[in-house]
Amino acid sequence: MAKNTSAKRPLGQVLSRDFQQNKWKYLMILPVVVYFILFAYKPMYGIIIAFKQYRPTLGIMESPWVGLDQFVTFFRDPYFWRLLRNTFSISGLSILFGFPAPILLALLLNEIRCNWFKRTVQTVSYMPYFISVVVMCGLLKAFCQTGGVFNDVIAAFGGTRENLLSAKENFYPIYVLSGIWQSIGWDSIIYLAALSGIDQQQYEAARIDGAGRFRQMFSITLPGLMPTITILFILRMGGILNVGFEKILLLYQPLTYEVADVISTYVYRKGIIEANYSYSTAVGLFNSLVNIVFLLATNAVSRRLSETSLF
Amino acid sequence: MKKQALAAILAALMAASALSGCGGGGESSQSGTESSTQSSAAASSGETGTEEFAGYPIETDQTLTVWTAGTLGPDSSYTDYTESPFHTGLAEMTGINVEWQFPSAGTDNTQAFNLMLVSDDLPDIIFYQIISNAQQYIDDGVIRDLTADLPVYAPNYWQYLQENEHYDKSLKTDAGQYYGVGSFRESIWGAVYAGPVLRKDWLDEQGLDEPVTMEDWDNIIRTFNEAYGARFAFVPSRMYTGFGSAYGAFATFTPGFYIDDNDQVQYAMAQENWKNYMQQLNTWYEDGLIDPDSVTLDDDGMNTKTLNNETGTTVTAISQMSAWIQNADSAGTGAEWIGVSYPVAQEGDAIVATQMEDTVQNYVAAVTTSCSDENLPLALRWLDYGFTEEGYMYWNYGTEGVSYTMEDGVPTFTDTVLNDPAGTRYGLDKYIGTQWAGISKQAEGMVKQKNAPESVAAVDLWVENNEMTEHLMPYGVTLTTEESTEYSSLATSINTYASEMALKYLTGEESLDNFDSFVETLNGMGLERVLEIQQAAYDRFLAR
Amino acid sequence: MSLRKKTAGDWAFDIVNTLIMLALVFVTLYPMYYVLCASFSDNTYLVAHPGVLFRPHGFTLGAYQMTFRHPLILSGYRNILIILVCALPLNIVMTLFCGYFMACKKMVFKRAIVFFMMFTMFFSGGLIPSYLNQRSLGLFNNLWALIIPGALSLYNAIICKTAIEAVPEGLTESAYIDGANDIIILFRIVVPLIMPTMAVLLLYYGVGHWNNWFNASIYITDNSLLPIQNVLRALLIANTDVLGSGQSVGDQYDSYAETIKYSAIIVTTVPVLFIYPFLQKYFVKGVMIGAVKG
Repeated sequence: MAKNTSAKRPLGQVLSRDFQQNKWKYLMILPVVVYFILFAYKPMYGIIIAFKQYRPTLGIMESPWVGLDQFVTFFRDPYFWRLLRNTFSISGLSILFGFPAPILLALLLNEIRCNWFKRTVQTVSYMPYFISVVVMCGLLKAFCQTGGVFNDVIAAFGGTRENLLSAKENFYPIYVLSGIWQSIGWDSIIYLAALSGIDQQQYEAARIDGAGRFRQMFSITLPGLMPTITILFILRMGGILNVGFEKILLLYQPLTYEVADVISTYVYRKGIIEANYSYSTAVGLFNSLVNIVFLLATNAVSRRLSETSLF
Repeated sequence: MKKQALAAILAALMAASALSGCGGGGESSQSGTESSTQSSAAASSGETGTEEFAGYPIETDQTLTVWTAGTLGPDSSYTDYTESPFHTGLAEMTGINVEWQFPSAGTDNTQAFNLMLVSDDLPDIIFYQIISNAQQYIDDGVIRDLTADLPVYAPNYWQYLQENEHYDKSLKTDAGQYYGVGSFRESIWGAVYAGPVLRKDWLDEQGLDEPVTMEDWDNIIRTFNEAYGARFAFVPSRMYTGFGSAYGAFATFTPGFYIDDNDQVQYAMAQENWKNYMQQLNTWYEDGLIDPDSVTLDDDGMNTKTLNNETGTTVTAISQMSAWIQNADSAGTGAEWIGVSYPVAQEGDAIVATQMEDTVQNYVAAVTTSCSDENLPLALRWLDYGFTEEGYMYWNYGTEGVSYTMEDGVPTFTDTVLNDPAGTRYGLDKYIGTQWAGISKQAEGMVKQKNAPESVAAVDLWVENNEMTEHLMPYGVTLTTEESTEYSSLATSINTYASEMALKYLTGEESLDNFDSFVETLNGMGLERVLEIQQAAYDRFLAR
Repeated sequence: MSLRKKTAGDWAFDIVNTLIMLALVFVTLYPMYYVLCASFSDNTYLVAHPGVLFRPHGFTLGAYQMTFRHPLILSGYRNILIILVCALPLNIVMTLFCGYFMACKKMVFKRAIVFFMMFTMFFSGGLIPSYLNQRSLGLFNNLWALIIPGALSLYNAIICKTAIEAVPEGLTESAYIDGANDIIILFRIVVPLIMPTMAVLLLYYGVGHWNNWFNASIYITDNSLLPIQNVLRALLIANTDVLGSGQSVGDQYDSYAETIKYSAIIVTTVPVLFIYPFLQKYFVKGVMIGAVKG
């Protein structure tokens, strides 16, 4: 919806008119800008640590420069490509299946007519969000063992028992599904909020036109959610390399490193040997650059297709 | 003002000497400890003799600040250290008020340590795992070089180092500088805590003897499997500790560096011995004798396996074994877990590769550069306390009559400690300082009392007939800054690869016939360079 | 309300939908129920039977006693309450300002300022400079250290912006003509129309503060100022080896090692679960009735 009017008037005139017209808006954003300067930009100099060999006793400024050494170490690491591939795979699958799931839930919840049932489902579905990763992974591991619940089910259908977490091919499904389970309810809240903004008269009109439930869902509800979906998708793509280490650390083991070892877990393991801030900052910088590329690309595509965009 | 402070201390010291007739620590010397019988007064008078030390408690109104993390924290039933008997008692005994600084509850210690270093106000004393970076901290002006001061103000500690070459080597830098007061285990006994364990009741039921050789083990594992459907199971990280000894395979820890008979540093998982050990494990795995869950088990999962009689043979730490025994009692399964010796190839062979830590812990208490010259003697006196006779007793057993009593000359914990409602561990945290790392010598008698009798018996077996001390990479070995940068850039991928392959060999996903190419890959990842770095560091250590 | 008859297709849809929802309720409620049962169970039983649990076994309050025995629990709850009361109004105002600004059109500096803000989503100086910065600002070892630096989340501001963009332009424009300024428009016209989103933002910020143990672990050194999550974390770490490093020698076994994990979840989660139903009433349909899409 945002249109950019690039006026062809003298610059000074444009600026003073702009400030005149929008002085309240600029006033509103002032505390926000101050906030970012104070808490984000003032410590920003810390990024140079990626180009140094940081020594805690010397501090950031005094530590010796090493140029791009940290990056070179990362790129030359025998596992660099594997880590990158795994990170993209896990993140990609999580987006592919995990992103639509809460939308689907919101759509289905929207179709429930019975109010108390709807509220109950909503409340219950967001509970797993509050179970700590440690406990969830503990349960998951117990379920996946040869004597665990999942194997009980497999055995009941005539399958053979095996330790599900020791097989490479099971890692992604387990990771992605447990992720969906944990966050589907919580993530759907934002869509439920957006749903309540949809004009009810549109449904009335559609019903009069004889549109069925599915038609209404696809021609009214979904389009109504579209701006929210788009924005959240762009933001999600902007975090494509951010795969948290804690859950993977708890679920993987050397037999599944081949598919499960990601950038964050690798850096974590490296950190055990030595708290190497320079290296992890360099890796973080690399992640950020990749993330930005994905964010900008998604944003550009979205602006073309739907007119919704971040900026 | 500073001169005044010094004068005040001196005056206080003199007053103290006049008031308390009794000298330093030598008061209650009936305990059965071998070392540190020297009274502090005697030791210090032999040195440069700048001032007469009148013994503890020292009368002073100075306060020392001490930063530490991961150890010595007050028990969680107190809001902070001012309520903790150990901390308040220590101040009373030494006469020195200490303002303790701990990272707030639940914080990552290394992170807290790094943040403490960058903030401007350093404490007087840092007690943390700095043994491998000490040289760097001295060079960068964070901690003081104490070479000249230790003999004067910490005579008991100095004496202790002089009596033991290994301790002495570990607590100075390659350049020969002393920088702090270490944390020691009195004997190797406290440094060994994991090994093979099995179900004694099953062993008896089957009429089998305790295993000595790998053949015995093979027999037991097969018998248990036939009789009870039980399998050999373990937490993956303990696999390395396992039965490697019988093959001379030294991968008792994941990084896997050890010292061979010719004083050469070796990477355990690149050795032929390791291959042979893996061969055995793989055979068992193929025969269905190893629980396939072993590759994902954690301590909780292992707990479950033992409670449900799914395993009767494993490798574990005494803390876990105590838990199993306790669980078996409360669930009434009748399981009797005992520790048995590490297996050997032939009866009578010495045990070469066991789990073992260094008797020198990696915690060192160093005095920072922000401790004033006037306060330095006081700081060192405070640090020296744990090495006096009296201080040793206080750090290990607490206060006589409260946390321990002397029975037949042996300090014995009271019920207040042993039957603490939350558990012995918490009782100990309240009264003593050497449960984890303390600024003293950890008493063997203390460690024995806090463990179950079965665990004590197990460790007794494991330390017996043991040559591991000669193969252990000492904790005091230090890399230079440049070396450690290079080392860390290579080591992670090497260890990742090795631990990945270890499990693949176990499950048979990768054939041991290709072991040579595994070693080649390791070399391609820079193993040779890593060994070179470690070797150089070790040589420097030996030359200290 | 049209009293149109339900078609067969509608019936089928409703039934299938209800079944899906019931399944969802089961798989999401069960673990919570499991945690509840486990927290009251006997430790040994729990260890022997991992996985499915339908009722507490060997009912005991031991884990809760252990939890509430901790001397910092009360101050922990008090601190998080203070943080919430102070931080949430600040969060909401900052987010509205930021979101409103981003939703505006036709401003010369808008793109530049948005870019200026977005940049911080990807680049930060890292832990050490932030730590030094906060210390130099005096935001250290007091509760403000946990309130002011968390005043705004850009992510939430973007959500806010999306909601504001859905407000019909006609409404704001007519207010302009009536002489209202942006602040009046924001609070009088926009906010009432985006109440559902406001509820979501409150929830996001609230839960964010509630769960954020990390900042407190760095910026608070005084135990009596720790919020509840840090207190429980300390309790858990004291009782278990969180990431299973296996390096620590827990010599003495703890009789509540397992169950205390679960009681800690209950103690920290239940307060949050009670808040949600109160916010839910803002998610009713048709809040914006009569609003015509611009």
